[in-house]
Amino acid sequence: MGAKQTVYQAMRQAGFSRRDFLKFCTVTAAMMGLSPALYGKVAQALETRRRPSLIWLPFQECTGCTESLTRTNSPAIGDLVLDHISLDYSETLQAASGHQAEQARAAAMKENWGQYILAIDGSVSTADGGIHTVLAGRTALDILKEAAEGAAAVVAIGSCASFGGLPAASPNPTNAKAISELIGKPVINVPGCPPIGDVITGVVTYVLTFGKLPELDDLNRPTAFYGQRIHDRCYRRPFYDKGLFARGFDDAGAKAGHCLFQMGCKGPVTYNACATMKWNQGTSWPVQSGHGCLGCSEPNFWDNGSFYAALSTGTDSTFKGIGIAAAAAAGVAAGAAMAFQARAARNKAQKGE
Amino acid sequence: MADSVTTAMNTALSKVGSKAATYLSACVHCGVCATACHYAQGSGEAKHIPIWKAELLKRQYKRRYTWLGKLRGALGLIPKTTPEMLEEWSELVFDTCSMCGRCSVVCPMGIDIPMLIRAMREGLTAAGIVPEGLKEATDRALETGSPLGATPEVFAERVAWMGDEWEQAIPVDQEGAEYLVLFSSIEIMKYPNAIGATAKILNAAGLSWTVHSKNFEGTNFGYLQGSSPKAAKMLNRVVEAAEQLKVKKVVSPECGHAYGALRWEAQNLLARDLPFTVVQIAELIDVLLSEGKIRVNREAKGGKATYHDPCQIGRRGGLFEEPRRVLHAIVPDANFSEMTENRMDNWCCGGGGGVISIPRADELRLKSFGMKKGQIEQVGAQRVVSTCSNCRLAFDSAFEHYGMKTEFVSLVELVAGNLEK
Amino acid sequence: MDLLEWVRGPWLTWSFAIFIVGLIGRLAFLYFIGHGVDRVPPKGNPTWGGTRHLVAASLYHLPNLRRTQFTYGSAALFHLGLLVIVFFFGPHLLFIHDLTGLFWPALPAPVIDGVAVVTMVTLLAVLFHRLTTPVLRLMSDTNDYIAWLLTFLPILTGYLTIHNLTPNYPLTLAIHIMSFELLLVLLPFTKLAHTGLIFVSRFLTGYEMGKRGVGVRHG
Repeated sequence: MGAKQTVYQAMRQAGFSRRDFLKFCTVTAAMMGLSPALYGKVAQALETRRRPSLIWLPFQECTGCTESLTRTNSPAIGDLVLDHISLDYSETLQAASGHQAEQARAAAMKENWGQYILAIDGSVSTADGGIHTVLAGRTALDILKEAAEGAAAVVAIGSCASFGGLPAASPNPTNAKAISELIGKPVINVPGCPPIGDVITGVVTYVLTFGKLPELDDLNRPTAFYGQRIHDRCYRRPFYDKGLFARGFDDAGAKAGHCLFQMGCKGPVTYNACATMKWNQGTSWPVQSGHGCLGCSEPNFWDNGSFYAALSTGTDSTFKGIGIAAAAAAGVAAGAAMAFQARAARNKAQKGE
Repeated sequence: MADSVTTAMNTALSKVGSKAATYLSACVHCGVCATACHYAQGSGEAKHIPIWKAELLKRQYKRRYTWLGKLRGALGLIPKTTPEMLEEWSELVFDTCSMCGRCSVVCPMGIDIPMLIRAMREGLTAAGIVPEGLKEATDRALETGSPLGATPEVFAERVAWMGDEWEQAIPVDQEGAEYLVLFSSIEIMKYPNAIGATAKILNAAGLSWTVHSKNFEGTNFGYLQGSSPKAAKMLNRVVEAAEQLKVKKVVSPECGHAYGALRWEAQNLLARDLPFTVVQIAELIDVLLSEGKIRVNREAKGGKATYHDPCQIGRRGGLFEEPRRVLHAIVPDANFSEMTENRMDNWCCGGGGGVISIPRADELRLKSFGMKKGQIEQVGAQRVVSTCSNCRLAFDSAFEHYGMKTEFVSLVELVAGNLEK
Repeated sequence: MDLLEWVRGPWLTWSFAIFIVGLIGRLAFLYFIGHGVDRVPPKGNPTWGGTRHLVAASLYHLPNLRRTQFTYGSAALFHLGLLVIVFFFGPHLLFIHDLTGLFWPALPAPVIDGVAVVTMVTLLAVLFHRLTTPVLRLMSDTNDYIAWLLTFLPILTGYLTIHNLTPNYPLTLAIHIMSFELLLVLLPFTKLAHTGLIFVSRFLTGYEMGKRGVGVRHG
């Protein structure tokens, strides 16, 4: 796979012109939110830097993140990232399997020790010594620790790797944990369930290009893609501001494209790029299709109350109905008790005590 | 022997039931009551705000009735009552409040502040911390039946005199009469024409009426002092007389709180139903006029007139239109001007609630009259007609102090002077 | 569970529970202290008088208006402002709908915004007035200032939240909901209990007025 080539060289070899290469650099740079002044830097980096190695480890995942990755905006970019960087190990995408695949991985890691990019999707189970996720006879925990040691950068792809995701949702029987909870190195979280394909490629490309971590927020998510709330970029925001809500999925409001806040949209508390970049080559995204945002790029989104309960409602149902009646009864009892004590005080006062 | 603080606060607290407790809890410290109080407006002093007068009771209530209050009290967060406070509050509660109820009307929470003042007075009276003047008047009333020394002998003498002067028969101790008529000591001692005028009107109507030779007093200084036992004792004298003479109706004279005590409190203070109904003299005259039992002339001339609603007869008594109907039958409309802020909004004369009997309070009382003065001057009235002799005292005292030429006219005397022959 | 979920979950439940226990308890207490029998025969209709006073006591006392312009004006402004914000802002309406099943049209967010600003400015003016007017300074205690704070904070934090004025939106939203919960929990034990007590005290006084056949407006 020609690991000593630069990306530029690899592209030329594949038949892309220099113009195509520069176009790729511009698009990539724009996608990452870099200023035009830096476009040249991207080109320079890819021209001079050695084609890096990318190891992709899947753990407790549904493969949705990898699926998302293969539906990126411009196939050229996807191809470039996948084909022209060494994707030395990817269970889903590679042809090899079994011991042969494991040997290839071990070899790639050894050869590029200290320099490869480690991408992980899926959380890691830690209960019972990690026995609930085992690949080729080794626990995921074990594999992770070894791979992380030799990685130049660690990227957690998807909500499971970033925050624990579905496996870590209550009751979390396998004691699944996020990658950042298990290794000491800084982890770039690229959450989403799944993340937008172009976001994955964008982050990976950034790391490949500049050899450093992009600017991250307090949850270690790249601010280029996770710095804006869905709510602030949502095209239905004017309806929220006007107080026009869809009250059901098929009512007049829904048909008129009103705000989905009542239908449980978590847009106001969700940071992601869905409202601007959209999905499937910019085709659509949940809200545009008439369903509220699930908040899937936020931690614990599975446990944060119903997807269909509006953000401004309580999530605990015990205080409705019987709760209110019970509280009222308790109130009457307490009030009566205090009143009888007061009457006793009054009697004492009457007697002059 | 319990100390004054314990006695005062215990007695006051013993009057706090559901109603007073609600009021004590409801105050939101908005300050609107001060804008409606003639004393607060007259003096301009912050401490005269009506609800502040009940502050000691509020603190006591919290400290002893409510759990949160007990906790705060234990933590020292609620000031304890001291003898000095009792003295200070005695002045606030007796000197600077006529229990007129104007504050309650404007209170956004609908707090009946006079009710709380009553409870405070009850406590202070029990501890004997009552201002000079009021104390003596009440004691005298308890012992002799009259706060001003109108003994049965004096009353008999007045009755004879007025009967002569007005050429009217005045029945005394007539068993089986329909109406028992009471008089206020202020009338007996200072404005005895009230007796003659009343007699003329009732005789002209052909009513079966009488006075009682011993229990003729309408005023109730026990009520003014805020002492329930004393108030009850004085009420019982009236009840005894009414029951003894087997009357059907008791006529309350031109006196504010007399009507209030008799009509609106008696049954509850005495914890019994009464075998008679109570009617105020102006109310009675209104009925007599409407039934054609008496007729009055429209007066041909007279100074510009206005009507003053005595607080205990109007706002706290319920009689706004009855006296006015009588008045309008006599004074031509062109000669009459209603003061702005009348009826429910009328400003108190400042003398009610026992205030006029407290010499120490004179200065503030006269200052508070400023509100009334403004009203009178605004309509340019030369005569103020009303139906309370206590107001009469206060008005006369203020007219003199301010050098006003205005005259206070008793409604009863006005009617008697204009009866059709 | 992160803070926002605690706040939307159990904390909300407990806040409501304490609020209900406290307020109903306080009303029950006042009722059970007891009152004597009323033997006085009425002239008018006391029950009607009581009911009427529930509304009549809010009416501007025109004769007194000159002296009470600021008090009445500011009180009306901020109470109405609170009403509009609480009952006509979309997300709040959904909260009420979730609790009670009731729903009605919302006002546009910019309108609510303006109302919030006016309400906050009014509340600040009210505080200033309380601190500088002699009659109010004499009477005011900690209770008054805590009540002010409990009323002001939800509006302030709500404003900050909706305008995304702080770096961390979910935290700000959580703080806003917490300020409401604090209000709920402390309401029955401060002068804010007047939200419930007002019906009782107005009715009782109106009852006495009605007994005498009079009302706030001349009877």
